[in-house]
Amino acid sequence: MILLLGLLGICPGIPGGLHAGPPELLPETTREPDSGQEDGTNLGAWLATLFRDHISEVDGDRCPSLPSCSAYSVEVFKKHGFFIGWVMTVDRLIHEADEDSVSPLVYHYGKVKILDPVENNDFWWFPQERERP
Amino acid sequence: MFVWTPVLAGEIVIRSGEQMDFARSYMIKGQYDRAVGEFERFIHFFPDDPEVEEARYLIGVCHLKQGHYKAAKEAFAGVMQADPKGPLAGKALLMIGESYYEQGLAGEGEIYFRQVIAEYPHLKDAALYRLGWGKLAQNNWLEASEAFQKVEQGSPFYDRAQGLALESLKGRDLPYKDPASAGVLAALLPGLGHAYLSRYKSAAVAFLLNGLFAWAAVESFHEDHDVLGGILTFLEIGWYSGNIYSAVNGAHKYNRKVQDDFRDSLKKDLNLHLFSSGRQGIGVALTFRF
Repeated sequence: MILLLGLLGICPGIPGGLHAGPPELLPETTREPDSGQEDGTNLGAWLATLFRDHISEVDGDRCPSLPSCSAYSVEVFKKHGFFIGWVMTVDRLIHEADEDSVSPLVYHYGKVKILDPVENNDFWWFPQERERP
Repeated sequence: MFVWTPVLAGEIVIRSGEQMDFARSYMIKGQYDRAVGEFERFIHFFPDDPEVEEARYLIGVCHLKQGHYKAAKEAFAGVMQADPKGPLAGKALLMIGESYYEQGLAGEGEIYFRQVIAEYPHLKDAALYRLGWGKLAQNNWLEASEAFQKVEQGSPFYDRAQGLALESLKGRDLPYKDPASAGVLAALLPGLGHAYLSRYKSAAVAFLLNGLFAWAAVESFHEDHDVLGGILTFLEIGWYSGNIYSAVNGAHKYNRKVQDDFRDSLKKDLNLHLFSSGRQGIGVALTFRF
């Protein structure tokens, strides 16, 4: 798991590839999803938070995606539990290289990022929250 | 008869028509927040004015223009409840459906469009047109085509609807990728599923990572480092599972993009304009452009 989290530091891929259209301008006040106080019983989220707060802080934000890989990992562990969270974290690390071919580009604090939230990767099997009529 | 109305210094008299026009002016300028405030001021000071329902209706429009869907729906629902048989009831119902559609909830909007079709014949074609677009948003190509076909000749939407009725059916023949095939290929050889999706960078990452971990695990067991081999095998299971999930997920996202690009290419031209023909009545102009 430590090796896995270490590889969270690998963020291959540079946005701005084949996706049609210019990046959309996100409001500058947009923040990454607030992972909040971590639930001590969620091992995956705790480990991902550990990486985000103490390892990723050292070399800064190099992730081309929004949310960042570590924030994504925390969110997906909390949403789907340990096993699926792990699988989806691996998915994020694999697909980040050319995700701009299927996901939109946005401006975030002056940088172009690939908008790739958790909902972008579980929409086809996890029922999304919808407003009732 | 001449009536002398003294106006003290520092006071002004605003009449209902002036207040209403003032509110509309903000709306025309696109300052919808201010328009809402002025319409509400009109309702507060002139609650018995005949244009009160129009003001409520235009509040809903202002909210819709700003993407405040819940507030828009509440405003339109208020118009309907105040006068279910009134001239704005059908339009308000249509706009509730429109609010759901703009919000990305085409399925919910459909309920309202169908009610408009059933109860308000003079708005039927507009509702059918939007219903067709709602079906397109849900990838129901055949149902979309059927909805567009029902738009009657003589309607301003007719020509466009006829074209869309044909175009919609092409959605069934888009170049989709099969998620199951992507998953099976990824299971056979990590990276092959991504290659099937033409995502060669992801394919390379999946192949290399799985290859390295698998090789490292094998070497560890070969060197009698069973604990290390076990750890690496455990991690490799994660990489392998993630590779399969990534390929399947990628196929779904690919198909979604193909569908989105197809819908964009149909060039949605419906433009729902709302105008007031003055204090005598309201009109809803449903216009479209090529």
